[in-house]
Amino acid sequence: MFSNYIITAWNVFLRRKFFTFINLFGISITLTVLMVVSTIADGYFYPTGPEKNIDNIRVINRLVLTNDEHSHTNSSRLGYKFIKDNISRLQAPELISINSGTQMTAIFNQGRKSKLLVKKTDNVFWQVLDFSFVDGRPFTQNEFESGQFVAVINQRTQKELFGEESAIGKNVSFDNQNFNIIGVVDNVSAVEETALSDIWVPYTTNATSGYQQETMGRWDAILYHSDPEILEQANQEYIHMLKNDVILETPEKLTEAYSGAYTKLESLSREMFYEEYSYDTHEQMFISVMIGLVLLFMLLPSINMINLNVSRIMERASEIGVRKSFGASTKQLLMQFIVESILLTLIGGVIGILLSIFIINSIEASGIIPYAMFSFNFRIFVVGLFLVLIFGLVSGVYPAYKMSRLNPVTALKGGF
Amino acid sequence: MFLHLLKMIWNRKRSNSLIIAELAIAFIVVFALSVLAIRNYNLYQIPLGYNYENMWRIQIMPTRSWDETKDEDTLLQIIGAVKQQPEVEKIHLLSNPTFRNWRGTSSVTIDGQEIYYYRNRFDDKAAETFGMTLNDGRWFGPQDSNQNYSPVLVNQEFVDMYYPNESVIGKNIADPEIEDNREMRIVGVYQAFRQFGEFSAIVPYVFTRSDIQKPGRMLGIEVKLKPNADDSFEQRVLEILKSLAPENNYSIASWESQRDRQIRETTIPLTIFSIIASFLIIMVAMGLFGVLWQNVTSRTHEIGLRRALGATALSIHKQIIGELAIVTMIGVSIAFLILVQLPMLGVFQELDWSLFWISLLASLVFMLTLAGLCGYYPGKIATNYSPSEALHYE
Repeated sequence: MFSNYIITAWNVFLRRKFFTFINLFGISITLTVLMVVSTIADGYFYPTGPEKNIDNIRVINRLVLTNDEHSHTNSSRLGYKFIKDNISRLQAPELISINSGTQMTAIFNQGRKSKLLVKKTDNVFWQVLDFSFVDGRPFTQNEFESGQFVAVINQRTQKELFGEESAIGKNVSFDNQNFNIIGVVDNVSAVEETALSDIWVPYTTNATSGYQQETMGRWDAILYHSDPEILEQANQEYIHMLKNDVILETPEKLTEAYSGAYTKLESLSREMFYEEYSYDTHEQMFISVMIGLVLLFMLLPSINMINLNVSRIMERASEIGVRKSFGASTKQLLMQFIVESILLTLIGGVIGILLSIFIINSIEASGIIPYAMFSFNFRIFVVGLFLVLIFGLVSGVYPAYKMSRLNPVTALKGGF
Repeated sequence: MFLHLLKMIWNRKRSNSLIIAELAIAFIVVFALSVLAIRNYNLYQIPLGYNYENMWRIQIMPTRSWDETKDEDTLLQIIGAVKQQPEVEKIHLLSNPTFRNWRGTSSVTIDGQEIYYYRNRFDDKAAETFGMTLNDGRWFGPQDSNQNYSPVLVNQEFVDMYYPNESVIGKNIADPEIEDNREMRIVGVYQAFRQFGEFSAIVPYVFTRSDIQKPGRMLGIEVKLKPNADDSFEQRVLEILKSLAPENNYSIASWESQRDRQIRETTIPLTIFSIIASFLIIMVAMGLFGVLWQNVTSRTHEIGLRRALGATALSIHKQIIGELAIVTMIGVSIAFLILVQLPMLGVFQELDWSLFWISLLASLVFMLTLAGLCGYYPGKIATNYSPSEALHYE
């Protein structure tokens, strides 16, 4: 019976090629847009590079300081002193890494200029993030503490500065300092903001120690624990500390601190629904808004599909009339037309997936998102399949319902 | 004729309601697209008010907060060192750089009027080097040093917005609520300084004065280079600065490269949105076409009867297109009722009434053209039915 439906559906698609084309066009374009967006989102929330142990880390990269009346407020990344005075006291995390935000730096190599990102970190950074080393090694605790001029670079930097040769043992100079290269890692995709850089050096090599006195600045802290559950406790502990015994020394006598050890989702939703004096990140609201936007985007194609399907089914009024007079039940007819719609959306879905792969590859090649490597995986496939089914059902149910209520007599006459 | 068509649409309200909903949403998409396109085109046409050729910015990025006593001297040393480079033609100070979204804003209430403006700071000769145009009054000059007032320059938009019918020269725009506040005296009106680039809105913008001998807190230097400067200039200056003041980080970028980057950042999202919107519209157009085609086929006898009663092919064609036009107008009206809320409630500051009406008109013309194109071929088919063929069914 089921295969009969599919054969009938196939023949109908072939008979009205134009309608089939319009339907497929709509479905595949809509799905392509949604799939491309979800692939990028997937790459962001489930990184495959150094941040692949994303569940084991939380990042603190935003601090709001204010006084009691909120008349004077500072908001930026953390200062080194704030991290040392407060975050270092946290008990829950196993490891805490301190690192600076990246700095675009001009590097001159035989008169040729390269603009590269430099990040200053500690040695713990290499333990909390899971970098894959192509060559060499990260810097050790000893090298970090004694402030040795060593650097880890990514493959792009190696290629740009030394061509095809290995960079290990060679030097890279910037800001009037000369660093010995001890490690080469894979390029880090720009969606992995915490790990991202081109060159990593120990921050103990800084020319001056002025940074150690700053409460606000350009530093991040990464908390690590092998058990994700405990990280949530670490966040609670941090917020508790900010509320009760935060140590602040600012010339403006600021007393209140707002910050948090966030997951990627929390950071993103906090940026979107920014509330200065709050520890809340609103991720529920963020998810609802995103779902709302997707539904809104699907509304127009869905209505379009419903219109087309109504037309497609009404055209077959006489077929339905015949089937009804020979005793087909409403349920059977409903089934048949829903199978038809789902079959059509499935074909559209396949085209959509192929198109998305093409577009994702072009995005990777174009370099709009530096070093981006997105991969299709099971999660995205499930999302795609789910969207296809939703689409098929939404656009198939109403027309099928309308058709199943046709009066056989009028249907046989060909009118309605 | 019109009422008659309306009645026929009403008789088929079930199937028409979905088409109307589709047209209404499609109209909203077209409207959004035309608002963005028209607004950005208009903004792009307005002159920047300055020249960016051969201009470079040296950005100073301190690793600690500004120290009043030490850092001003360091800055003066930096200026002196950069000035000695052979490629440098002129050197100036500008607090918030061009083509970046670094902004300072102020809001004061003067004579019951709230005055909100963007502010920036530059030195006496900067306006000339940047190629800005003076509309009234004068630029800053040495006569402003050691006075009991702070001189300010305002842009034409500031005058048009807050003091449209009076001369602003000599006015004080200091906040009256703060006691002992220094007078901020307007000494000149310039045409424009669109710091945020070509696609930014025209905003009231105020310059205060920075004395290049006593600059205060300044984290950037603007340099006009001779046209033949190359990368070696950048490398040399970076090395000199780093050895002069190693506690800071530095970066050098031309205004032009910043401008390119900013234009790219604006146009990439717009392009993506336009591509998606165009696909949606193509989808709607094809959908409409398909539905109409089917519609005409299923109304064969009705059309046949009209033909038998003497209706011409032209009047049949008119009927099909007319019906579609009315359906489109109903959809557009529904969308209009939703869209008109936007400027009424002031949801988007940028969407004023003139932009609203122009975009609405553009979208209306577009939608009607689209409907006409979608209806043309199905209408043509309808006129091809000969009465005998059309009535054959019964």
